Amino acid sequence: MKFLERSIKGALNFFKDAVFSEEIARTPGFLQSLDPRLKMLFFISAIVLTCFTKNFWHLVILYFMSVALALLSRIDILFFIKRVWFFIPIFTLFIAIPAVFTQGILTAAIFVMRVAASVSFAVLLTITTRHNLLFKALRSLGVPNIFVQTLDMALRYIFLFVKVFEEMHIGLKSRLVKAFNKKSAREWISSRIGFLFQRSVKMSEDVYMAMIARGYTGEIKKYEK
Amino acid sequence: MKNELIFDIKNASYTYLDKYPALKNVNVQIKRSERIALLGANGSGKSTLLLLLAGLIFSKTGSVKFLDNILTEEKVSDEKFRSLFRSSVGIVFQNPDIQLFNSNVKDEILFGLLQLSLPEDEIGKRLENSLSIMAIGHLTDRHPQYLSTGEKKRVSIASVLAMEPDIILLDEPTAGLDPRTMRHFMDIVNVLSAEGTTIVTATQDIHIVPEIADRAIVLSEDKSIVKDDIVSEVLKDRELLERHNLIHSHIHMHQGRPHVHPHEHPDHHYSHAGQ
Repeated sequence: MKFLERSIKGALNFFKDAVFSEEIARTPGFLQSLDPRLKMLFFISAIVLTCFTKNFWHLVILYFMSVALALLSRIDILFFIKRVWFFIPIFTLFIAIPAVFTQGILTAAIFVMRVAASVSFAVLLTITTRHNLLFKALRSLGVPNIFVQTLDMALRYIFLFVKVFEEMHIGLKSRLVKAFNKKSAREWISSRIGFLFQRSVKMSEDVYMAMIARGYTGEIKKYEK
Repeated sequence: MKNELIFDIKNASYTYLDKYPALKNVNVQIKRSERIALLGANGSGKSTLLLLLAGLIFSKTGSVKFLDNILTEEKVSDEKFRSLFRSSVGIVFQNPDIQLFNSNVKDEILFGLLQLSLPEDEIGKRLENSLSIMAIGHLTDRHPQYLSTGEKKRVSIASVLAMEPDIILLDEPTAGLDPRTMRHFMDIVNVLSAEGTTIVTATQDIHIVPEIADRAIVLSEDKSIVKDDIVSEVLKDRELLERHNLIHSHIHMHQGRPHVHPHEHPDHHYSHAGQ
Protein backbone atom coordinates (compact mmCIF):
# COMPACT_ATOMS: atom_id res chain seq x y z
CA MET A 1 0.00 0.00 0.00
CA LYS A 2 2.91 2.28 0.73
CA PHE A 3 4.08 1.80 -2.82
CA LEU A 4 0.62 2.69 -4.13
CA GLU A 5 0.28 5.66 -1.81
CA ARG A 6 3.73 7.00 -2.69
CA SER A 7 3.28 6.58 -6.45
CA ILE A 8 -0.10 8.26 -6.48
CA LYS A 9 0.95 11.11 -4.21
CA GLY A 10 4.13 11.64 -6.22
CA ALA A 11 2.32 11.75 -9.55
CA LEU A 12 -0.49 13.96 -8.28
CA ASN A 13 1.87 16.40 -6.61
CA PHE A 14 3.96 16.56 -9.74
CA PHE A 15 0.94 17.54 -11.82
CA LYS A 16 -0.26 20.02 -9.26
CA ASP A 17 3.09 21.72 -8.68
CA ALA A 18 4.85 21.49 -11.98
CA VAL A 19 2.06 21.64 -14.50
CA PHE A 20 -0.87 23.45 -12.98
CA SER A 21 0.47 25.74 -10.34
CA GLU A 22 0.80 29.30 -11.50
CA GLU A 23 2.30 30.31 -8.17
CA ILE A 24 5.81 30.83 -9.57
CA ALA A 25 4.48 32.70 -12.61
CA ARG A 26 2.74 35.10 -10.22
CA THR A 27 5.79 35.82 -8.03
CA PRO A 28 7.94 38.74 -9.20
CA GLY A 29 11.28 37.76 -10.76
CA PHE A 30 13.49 38.23 -13.80
CA LEU A 31 11.83 35.79 -16.22
CA GLN A 32 8.36 36.63 -14.93
CA SER A 33 8.90 40.27 -15.89
CA LEU A 34 9.73 39.52 -19.54
CA ASP A 35 7.24 39.68 -22.40
CA PRO A 36 5.99 36.09 -22.96
CA ARG A 37 6.69 36.31 -26.72
CA LEU A 38 10.27 37.39 -26.14
CA LYS A 39 10.70 34.69 -23.52
CA MET A 40 9.31 32.06 -25.84
CA LEU A 41 11.64 33.09 -28.67
CA PHE A 42 14.59 33.08 -26.27
CA PHE A 43 13.86 29.62 -24.91
CA ILE A 44 13.10 28.10 -28.30
CA SER A 45 16.48 29.44 -29.52
CA ALA A 46 18.17 28.09 -26.37
CA ILE A 47 16.65 24.64 -26.93
CA VAL A 48 17.67 24.62 -30.61
CA LEU A 49 21.20 25.66 -29.62
CA THR A 50 21.29 22.87 -27.01
CA CYS A 51 20.22 20.32 -29.61
CA PHE A 52 23.09 21.28 -31.92
CA THR A 53 25.81 21.55 -29.24
CA LYS A 54 28.15 18.57 -29.37
CA ASN A 55 30.63 19.55 -26.65
CA PHE A 56 29.85 18.14 -23.21
CA TRP A 57 31.22 21.18 -21.32
CA HIS A 58 29.25 23.60 -23.48
CA LEU A 59 26.14 21.64 -22.53
CA VAL A 60 27.11 21.87 -18.85
CA ILE A 61 27.41 25.65 -19.26
CA LEU A 62 23.98 25.82 -20.90
CA TYR A 63 22.52 23.76 -18.04
CA PHE A 64 24.05 26.03 -15.41
CA MET A 65 22.77 29.02 -17.34
CA SER A 66 19.25 27.67 -16.82
CA VAL A 67 19.98 27.22 -13.11
CA ALA A 68 21.24 30.83 -12.94
CA LEU A 69 18.05 32.04 -14.66
CA ALA A 70 16.01 30.07 -12.15
CA LEU A 71 17.90 31.76 -9.29
CA LEU A 72 17.37 35.20 -10.85
CA SER A 73 13.67 34.45 -11.13
CA ARG A 74 13.45 33.54 -7.43
CA ILE A 75 12.49 29.93 -8.10
CA ASP A 76 13.17 27.46 -5.29
CA ILE A 77 16.30 25.87 -6.75
CA LEU A 78 15.77 22.46 -5.18
CA PHE A 79 12.24 22.33 -6.56
CA PHE A 80 13.55 23.31 -10.00
CA ILE A 81 16.34 20.73 -10.07
CA LYS A 82 13.99 18.02 -8.82
CA ARG A 83 11.38 18.84 -11.47
CA VAL A 84 13.93 18.69 -14.28
CA TRP A 85 15.58 15.48 -13.14
CA PHE A 86 12.20 13.83 -12.59
CA PHE A 87 11.74 13.61 -16.37
CA ILE A 88 15.27 12.72 -17.26
CA PRO A 89 15.61 9.27 -15.69
CA ILE A 90 12.35 8.16 -17.31
CA PHE A 91 13.07 9.32 -20.83
CA THR A 92 16.78 8.95 -21.12
CA LEU A 93 17.82 6.10 -18.88
CA PHE A 94 16.66 3.35 -21.21
CA ILE A 95 18.14 5.08 -24.22
CA ALA A 96 21.43 6.16 -22.62
CA ILE A 97 22.39 2.92 -20.86
CA PRO A 98 23.01 0.88 -24.05
CA ALA A 99 24.97 3.83 -25.45
CA VAL A 100 27.47 3.51 -22.56
CA PHE A 101 28.46 0.07 -23.90
CA THR A 102 28.26 0.75 -27.61
CA GLN A 103 29.43 4.35 -27.99
CA GLY A 104 31.19 5.13 -24.73
CA ILE A 105 30.36 7.00 -21.57
CA LEU A 106 30.94 10.47 -23.04
CA THR A 107 28.24 10.00 -25.71
CA ALA A 108 25.80 8.87 -23.04
CA ALA A 109 26.76 11.84 -20.81
CA ILE A 110 26.33 14.30 -23.70
CA PHE A 111 22.93 12.81 -24.40
CA VAL A 112 21.76 13.06 -20.78
CA MET A 113 23.17 16.60 -20.43
CA ARG A 114 21.47 17.72 -23.63
CA VAL A 115 18.12 16.42 -22.37
CA ALA A 116 18.72 18.03 -18.94
CA ALA A 117 19.47 21.46 -20.45
CA SER A 118 16.56 21.32 -22.91
CA VAL A 119 14.09 20.20 -20.24
CA SER A 120 15.39 22.93 -17.91
CA PHE A 121 14.70 25.61 -20.50
CA ALA A 122 11.25 24.20 -21.24
CA VAL A 123 10.41 23.95 -17.51
CA LEU A 124 11.63 27.52 -16.94
CA LEU A 125 9.41 28.83 -19.71
CA THR A 126 6.30 27.01 -18.49
CA ILE A 127 6.64 27.71 -14.79
CA THR A 128 7.41 31.41 -15.16
CA THR A 129 4.60 32.15 -17.60
CA ARG A 130 0.88 31.98 -16.86
CA HIS A 131 -0.80 29.44 -19.10
CA ASN A 132 -3.14 31.82 -20.88
CA LEU A 133 -0.21 34.17 -21.66
CA LEU A 134 1.83 31.23 -22.89
CA PHE A 135 -0.93 30.19 -25.27
CA LYS A 136 -1.46 33.79 -26.36
CA ALA A 137 2.28 34.07 -27.09
CA LEU A 138 2.14 30.87 -29.15
CA ARG A 139 -0.72 32.30 -31.20
CA SER A 140 1.02 35.62 -31.71
CA LEU A 141 4.11 33.75 -32.94
CA GLY A 142 1.98 32.25 -35.69
CA VAL A 143 1.16 28.83 -34.22
CA PRO A 144 -2.29 27.92 -35.66
CA ASN A 145 -5.21 28.40 -33.26
CA ILE A 146 -6.26 24.78 -33.58
CA PHE A 147 -2.91 23.57 -32.13
CA VAL A 148 -2.99 26.06 -29.30
CA GLN A 149 -6.62 25.22 -28.47
CA THR A 150 -5.81 21.49 -28.50
CA LEU A 151 -2.91 22.02 -26.07
CA ASP A 152 -5.08 24.21 -23.89
CA MET A 153 -7.85 21.62 -23.80
CA ALA A 154 -5.41 18.79 -23.12
CA LEU A 155 -4.15 20.66 -20.06
CA ARG A 156 -7.71 21.36 -18.92
CA TYR A 157 -8.78 17.72 -19.14
CA ILE A 158 -5.56 16.23 -17.75
CA PHE A 159 -6.24 18.24 -14.64
CA LEU A 160 -9.82 16.99 -14.53
CA PHE A 161 -8.68 13.37 -14.78
CA VAL A 162 -5.97 13.89 -12.17
CA LYS A 163 -8.75 15.09 -9.88
CA VAL A 164 -10.97 12.11 -10.73
CA PHE A 165 -8.04 9.79 -9.99
CA GLU A 166 -7.40 11.52 -6.69
CA GLU A 167 -11.06 11.11 -5.72
CA MET A 168 -11.02 7.42 -6.67
CA HIS A 169 -7.98 6.97 -4.48
CA ILE A 170 -9.66 8.71 -1.54
CA GLY A 171 -12.72 6.50 -2.16
CA LEU A 172 -10.54 3.41 -2.02
CA LYS A 173 -8.73 4.54 1.12
CA SER A 174 -11.99 5.26 2.91
CA ARG A 175 -13.15 1.67 2.40
CA LEU A 176 -9.88 -0.12 2.92
CA VAL A 177 -9.69 -1.98 6.20
CA LYS A 178 -6.74 -4.27 5.60
CA ALA A 179 -3.58 -3.10 3.87
CA PHE A 180 -3.38 -3.69 0.13
CA ASN A 181 -0.68 -6.09 -0.97
CA LYS A 182 1.55 -5.10 -3.88
CA LYS A 183 -0.26 -7.29 -6.37
CA SER A 184 -3.70 -5.88 -5.50
CA ALA A 185 -2.28 -2.35 -5.57
CA ARG A 186 -0.92 -2.89 -9.07
CA GLU A 187 -4.21 -4.41 -10.17
CA TRP A 188 -6.14 -1.49 -8.75
CA ILE A 189 -3.93 1.08 -10.49
CA SER A 190 -4.10 -0.68 -13.84
CA SER A 191 -7.87 -1.08 -13.64
CA ARG A 192 -8.21 2.64 -12.84
CA ILE A 193 -5.94 3.59 -15.73
CA GLY A 194 -8.18 1.54 -18.02
CA PHE A 195 -11.28 3.15 -16.57
CA LEU A 196 -9.84 6.65 -17.03
CA PHE A 197 -8.93 5.82 -20.61
CA GLN A 198 -12.51 4.73 -21.32
CA ARG A 199 -13.84 7.84 -19.64
CA SER A 200 -11.52 10.12 -21.57
CA VAL A 201 -12.66 8.60 -24.88
CA LYS A 202 -16.33 9.12 -23.95
CA MET A 203 -15.59 12.61 -22.68
CA SER A 204 -13.77 13.62 -25.85
CA GLU A 205 -16.85 12.59 -27.86
CA ASP A 206 -19.13 14.59 -25.57
CA VAL A 207 -16.87 17.66 -25.59
CA TYR A 208 -16.81 17.54 -29.38
CA MET A 209 -20.63 17.49 -29.37
CA ALA A 210 -20.66 20.49 -27.00
CA MET A 211 -18.34 22.33 -29.41
CA ILE A 212 -20.51 21.45 -32.44
CA ALA A 213 -23.61 22.60 -30.54
CA ARG A 214 -22.05 26.05 -30.23
CA GLY A 215 -21.33 26.30 -33.92
CA TYR A 216 -17.82 24.81 -34.14
CA THR A 217 -16.92 23.84 -37.68
CA GLY A 218 -13.24 23.00 -37.33
CA GLU A 219 -11.97 26.54 -37.11
CA ILE A 220 -11.04 28.10 -33.77
CA LYS A 221 -11.58 31.83 -33.62
CA LYS A 222 -10.04 34.09 -31.02
CA TYR A 223 -11.00 37.46 -29.60
CA GLU A 224 -7.89 39.24 -28.38
CA LYS A 225 -9.43 42.23 -26.58
CA MET B 1 -44.58 33.57 -34.25
CA LYS B 2 -46.28 31.95 -31.26
CA ASN B 3 -47.73 28.45 -31.78
CA GLU B 4 -45.54 27.91 -34.83
CA LEU B 5 -44.46 24.26 -34.99
CA ILE B 6 -40.69 24.21 -34.56
CA PHE B 7 -39.92 20.56 -33.86
CA ASP B 8 -41.88 17.62 -35.21
CA ILE B 9 -40.56 14.24 -34.12
CA LYS B 10 -42.13 11.23 -35.80
CA ASN B 11 -41.44 7.62 -34.74
CA ALA B 12 -37.89 8.49 -33.74
CA SER B 13 -35.74 5.72 -32.25
CA TYR B 14 -32.09 5.70 -31.29
CA THR B 15 -29.74 2.87 -30.44
CA TYR B 16 -26.23 3.35 -29.04
CA LEU B 17 -23.56 1.24 -30.74
CA ASP B 18 -26.39 -0.55 -32.60
CA LYS B 19 -26.92 -2.56 -29.43
CA TYR B 20 -28.36 -0.49 -26.62
CA PRO B 21 -31.74 1.11 -27.30
CA ALA B 22 -31.93 4.66 -25.91
CA LEU B 23 -35.21 5.86 -27.41
CA LYS B 24 -38.14 3.94 -28.91
CA ASN B 25 -40.77 5.27 -31.31
CA VAL B 26 -41.02 8.76 -29.94
CA ASN B 27 -43.59 11.19 -31.33
CA VAL B 28 -43.47 14.79 -30.08
CA GLN B 29 -44.41 18.16 -31.47
CA ILE B 30 -42.93 21.31 -29.97
CA LYS B 31 -44.35 24.74 -30.65
CA ARG B 32 -42.61 28.07 -30.34
CA SER B 33 -42.52 29.60 -26.82
CA GLU B 34 -43.56 26.36 -25.14
CA ARG B 35 -42.11 25.38 -21.76
CA ILE B 36 -41.75 21.64 -21.63
CA ALA B 37 -40.37 19.32 -18.94
CA LEU B 38 -39.04 15.91 -19.96
CA LEU B 39 -39.49 13.60 -16.98
CA GLY B 40 -38.14 10.13 -16.44
CA ALA B 41 -35.85 8.04 -14.30
CA ASN B 42 -32.15 7.54 -15.07
CA GLY B 43 -31.64 5.91 -18.44
CA SER B 44 -35.13 6.67 -19.73
CA GLY B 45 -33.80 8.51 -22.79
CA LYS B 46 -34.27 12.16 -21.77
CA SER B 47 -30.71 13.18 -22.68
CA THR B 48 -30.88 11.22 -25.95
CA LEU B 49 -34.06 13.07 -26.89
CA LEU B 50 -32.36 16.42 -26.19
CA LEU B 51 -29.35 15.43 -28.33
CA LEU B 52 -31.73 14.51 -31.17
CA LEU B 53 -33.42 17.92 -30.88
CA ALA B 54 -30.01 19.62 -30.82
CA GLY B 55 -29.02 17.90 -34.07
CA LEU B 56 -26.04 16.23 -32.42
CA ILE B 57 -27.20 12.67 -33.00
CA PHE B 58 -29.66 11.49 -35.62
CA SER B 59 -32.61 9.14 -35.42
CA LYS B 60 -32.06 5.69 -36.94
CA THR B 61 -35.75 5.42 -37.82
CA GLY B 62 -38.50 8.03 -38.22
CA SER B 63 -37.63 11.69 -38.46
CA VAL B 64 -36.90 14.86 -36.48
CA LYS B 65 -38.07 17.96 -38.28
CA PHE B 66 -36.89 21.50 -37.40
CA LEU B 67 -39.22 24.02 -39.08
CA ASP B 68 -39.39 22.63 -42.62
CA ASN B 69 -36.14 20.68 -42.53
CA ILE B 70 -35.58 17.08 -41.55
CA LEU B 71 -32.46 16.96 -39.36
CA THR B 72 -29.85 14.71 -40.90
CA GLU B 73 -26.06 14.70 -40.75
CA GLU B 74 -25.94 16.18 -44.28
CA LYS B 75 -28.49 18.88 -43.45
CA VAL B 76 -26.62 20.15 -40.38
CA SER B 77 -23.38 20.13 -42.39
CA ASP B 78 -24.91 22.57 -44.86
CA GLU B 79 -23.32 25.91 -44.03
CA LYS B 80 -26.41 28.07 -44.41
CA PHE B 81 -28.69 25.75 -42.46
CA ARG B 82 -26.08 25.03 -39.79
CA SER B 83 -25.61 28.70 -39.09
CA LEU B 84 -29.39 29.24 -38.68
CA PHE B 85 -29.84 26.06 -36.64
CA ARG B 86 -26.88 26.49 -34.26
CA SER B 87 -27.78 30.10 -33.54
CA SER B 88 -31.43 29.11 -32.90
CA VAL B 89 -30.97 26.03 -30.74
CA GLY B 90 -28.79 26.03 -27.61
CA ILE B 91 -28.15 23.06 -25.35
CA VAL B 92 -26.83 23.03 -21.79
CA PHE B 93 -25.29 19.63 -20.99
CA GLN B 94 -25.80 17.85 -17.71
CA ASN B 95 -22.09 17.66 -16.93
CA PRO B 96 -20.65 21.20 -17.00
CA ASP B 97 -17.12 19.82 -17.42
CA ILE B 98 -18.15 18.78 -20.92
CA GLN B 99 -19.28 22.24 -21.75
CA LEU B 100 -16.39 24.14 -20.20
CA PHE B 101 -13.54 23.24 -22.51
CA ASN B 102 -11.83 26.63 -22.57
CA SER B 103 -9.20 27.78 -20.11
CA ASN B 104 -11.18 30.64 -18.63
CA VAL B 105 -14.77 31.78 -18.22
CA LYS B 106 -14.47 34.67 -20.66
CA ASP B 107 -13.11 32.47 -23.48
CA GLU B 108 -15.84 29.97 -22.74
CA ILE B 109 -18.60 32.50 -23.34
CA LEU B 110 -16.80 33.96 -26.34
CA PHE B 111 -16.42 30.55 -28.01
CA GLY B 112 -19.98 30.37 -29.37
CA LEU B 113 -20.15 34.09 -30.11
CA LEU B 114 -17.03 33.93 -32.27
CA GLN B 115 -18.41 30.95 -34.16
CA LEU B 116 -21.47 33.06 -35.03
CA SER B 117 -19.12 35.62 -36.67
CA LEU B 118 -20.85 38.57 -35.01
CA PRO B 119 -19.45 42.11 -35.18
CA GLU B 120 -16.95 42.86 -32.37
CA ASP B 121 -19.11 45.37 -30.52
CA GLU B 122 -22.03 42.91 -30.52
CA ILE B 123 -19.72 40.20 -29.13
CA GLY B 124 -18.61 42.51 -26.31
CA LYS B 125 -22.20 43.48 -25.54
CA ARG B 126 -23.43 39.89 -25.39
CA LEU B 127 -20.48 38.84 -23.26
CA GLU B 128 -21.22 41.54 -20.68
CA ASN B 129 -24.92 40.80 -20.78
CA SER B 130 -24.61 37.05 -20.16
CA LEU B 131 -22.04 37.61 -17.39
CA SER B 132 -24.44 39.97 -15.67
CA ILE B 133 -27.55 37.74 -16.10
CA MET B 134 -25.75 34.77 -14.54
CA ALA B 135 -23.98 36.97 -11.93
CA ILE B 136 -20.53 35.65 -12.85
CA GLY B 137 -18.79 38.90 -13.77
CA HIS B 138 -16.22 38.29 -11.03
CA LEU B 139 -15.20 34.93 -12.53
CA THR B 140 -14.12 35.99 -16.06
CA ASP B 141 -10.43 35.09 -15.71
CA ARG B 142 -11.02 31.98 -13.60
CA HIS B 143 -9.93 28.57 -14.94
CA PRO B 144 -12.76 25.97 -14.85
CA GLN B 145 -10.73 23.83 -12.43
CA TYR B 146 -11.12 26.55 -9.80
CA LEU B 147 -14.91 26.83 -10.11
CA SER B 148 -17.48 25.18 -7.82
CA THR B 149 -20.20 22.96 -9.34
CA GLY B 150 -22.76 25.76 -9.07
CA GLU B 151 -20.38 28.26 -10.71
CA LYS B 152 -19.59 25.80 -13.51
CA LYS B 153 -23.30 25.34 -14.14
CA ARG B 154 -23.82 29.12 -14.25
CA VAL B 155 -20.97 29.50 -16.74
CA SER B 156 -22.31 26.75 -18.99
CA ILE B 157 -25.75 28.37 -19.00
CA ALA B 158 -24.17 31.79 -19.69
CA SER B 159 -22.18 30.36 -22.62
CA VAL B 160 -25.45 29.27 -24.23
CA LEU B 161 -27.49 32.35 -23.27
CA ALA B 162 -24.86 34.61 -24.87
CA MET B 163 -25.74 33.08 -28.24
CA GLU B 164 -29.34 34.27 -27.69
CA PRO B 165 -31.00 31.11 -29.02
CA ASP B 166 -34.79 30.96 -29.56
CA ILE B 167 -34.85 27.42 -28.23
CA ILE B 168 -32.95 26.28 -25.14
CA LEU B 169 -32.54 22.62 -24.23
CA LEU B 170 -31.50 22.01 -20.62
CA ASP B 171 -30.26 18.65 -19.36
CA GLU B 172 -30.72 18.27 -15.60
CA PRO B 173 -29.96 21.96 -15.03
CA THR B 174 -30.59 21.90 -11.28
CA ALA B 175 -28.55 18.80 -10.42
CA GLY B 176 -26.03 19.67 -7.73
CA LEU B 177 -27.16 23.27 -7.30
CA ASP B 178 -27.55 24.94 -3.94
CA PRO B 179 -31.03 26.39 -3.17
CA ARG B 180 -30.09 29.98 -4.00
CA THR B 181 -28.56 29.10 -7.38
CA MET B 182 -31.55 26.91 -8.12
CA ARG B 183 -33.90 29.81 -7.38
CA HIS B 184 -31.81 32.11 -9.59
CA PHE B 185 -31.92 29.54 -12.38
CA MET B 186 -35.72 29.22 -12.20
CA ASP B 187 -36.10 33.01 -12.31
CA ILE B 188 -33.95 33.13 -15.44
CA VAL B 189 -36.02 30.42 -17.13
CA ASN B 190 -39.15 32.43 -16.41
CA VAL B 191 -37.67 35.68 -17.76
CA LEU B 192 -36.50 33.91 -20.95
CA SER B 193 -39.85 32.27 -21.32
CA ALA B 194 -41.65 35.63 -20.96
CA GLU B 195 -39.41 36.88 -23.78
CA GLY B 196 -40.70 34.06 -26.00
CA THR B 197 -37.85 31.54 -25.73
CA THR B 198 -38.86 27.89 -26.12
CA ILE B 199 -37.49 25.91 -23.19
CA VAL B 200 -37.23 22.13 -22.95
CA THR B 201 -35.87 20.89 -19.61
CA ALA B 202 -34.96 17.29 -18.91
CA THR B 203 -35.20 16.67 -15.18
CA GLN B 204 -35.91 14.15 -12.46
CA ASP B 205 -36.55 16.95 -10.03
CA ILE B 206 -40.33 17.12 -10.26
CA HIS B 207 -40.52 19.83 -7.60
CA ILE B 208 -39.26 22.44 -10.02
CA VAL B 209 -41.57 21.35 -12.86
CA PRO B 210 -44.61 23.55 -12.06
CA GLU B 211 -42.35 26.59 -12.12
CA ILE B 212 -40.38 25.95 -15.27
CA ALA B 213 -42.88 24.13 -17.50
CA ASP B 214 -46.49 24.15 -18.67
CA ARG B 215 -46.33 20.78 -20.38
CA ALA B 216 -44.68 17.58 -19.18
CA ILE B 217 -43.62 14.53 -21.15
CA VAL B 218 -42.92 11.37 -19.16
CA LEU B 219 -40.49 8.80 -20.54
CA SER B 220 -40.59 5.26 -19.22
CA GLU B 221 -37.68 2.99 -18.41
CA ASP B 222 -38.36 1.18 -21.70
CA LYS B 223 -37.40 4.48 -23.46
CA SER B 224 -40.80 5.46 -24.82
CA ILE B 225 -43.25 8.26 -24.03
CA VAL B 226 -45.96 7.20 -21.59
CA LYS B 227 -47.61 10.56 -20.97
CA ASP B 228 -47.66 13.97 -22.63
CA ASP B 229 -49.99 16.47 -20.98
CA ILE B 230 -50.20 19.75 -19.12
CA VAL B 231 -48.07 19.78 -15.96
CA SER B 232 -50.97 19.79 -13.47
CA GLU B 233 -52.47 16.66 -15.05
CA VAL B 234 -49.14 14.82 -15.09
CA LEU B 235 -48.35 15.71 -11.49
CA LYS B 236 -51.83 14.62 -10.40
CA ASP B 237 -51.16 11.10 -11.70
CA ARG B 238 -49.28 9.86 -8.62
CA GLU B 239 -49.49 6.25 -9.69
CA LEU B 240 -47.73 7.08 -12.98
CA LEU B 241 -45.04 9.12 -11.23
CA GLU B 242 -44.37 6.37 -8.74
CA ARG B 243 -44.29 3.70 -11.45
CA HIS B 244 -41.67 5.70 -13.35
CA ASN B 245 -39.53 6.36 -10.33
CA LEU B 246 -40.23 10.08 -10.07
CA ILE B 247 -41.69 9.94 -6.57
CA HIS B 248 -41.25 7.25 -3.97
CA SER B 249 -42.57 5.93 -0.72
CA HIS B 250 -40.43 6.04 2.36
CA ILE B 251 -40.80 5.88 6.09
CA HIS B 252 -40.94 9.30 7.68
CA MET B 253 -42.21 10.99 10.80
CA HIS B 254 -45.41 12.99 11.20
CA GLN B 255 -46.19 14.26 14.72
CA GLY B 256 -43.73 11.81 16.15
CA ARG B 257 -45.23 8.78 14.38
CA PRO B 258 -43.48 7.00 11.53
CA HIS B 259 -45.56 6.10 8.44
CA VAL B 260 -45.20 5.44 4.71
CA HIS B 261 -46.82 7.07 1.66
CA PRO B 262 -45.50 8.20 -1.74
CA HIS B 263 -44.31 11.76 -1.74
CA GLU B 264 -41.68 14.26 -2.71
CA HIS B 265 -40.37 17.24 -0.77
CA PRO B 266 -41.56 20.37 -2.54
CA ASP B 267 -41.04 22.49 0.58
CA HIS B 268 -37.31 21.82 0.35
CA HIS B 269 -37.12 23.35 -3.05
CA TYR B 270 -39.54 26.15 -3.72
CA SER B 271 -41.24 26.96 -0.49
CA HIS B 272 -41.05 30.67 -1.24
CA ALA B 273 -41.95 30.32 -4.91
CA GLY B 274 -45.56 31.22 -4.46
CA GLN B 275 -45.00 33.91 -1.85
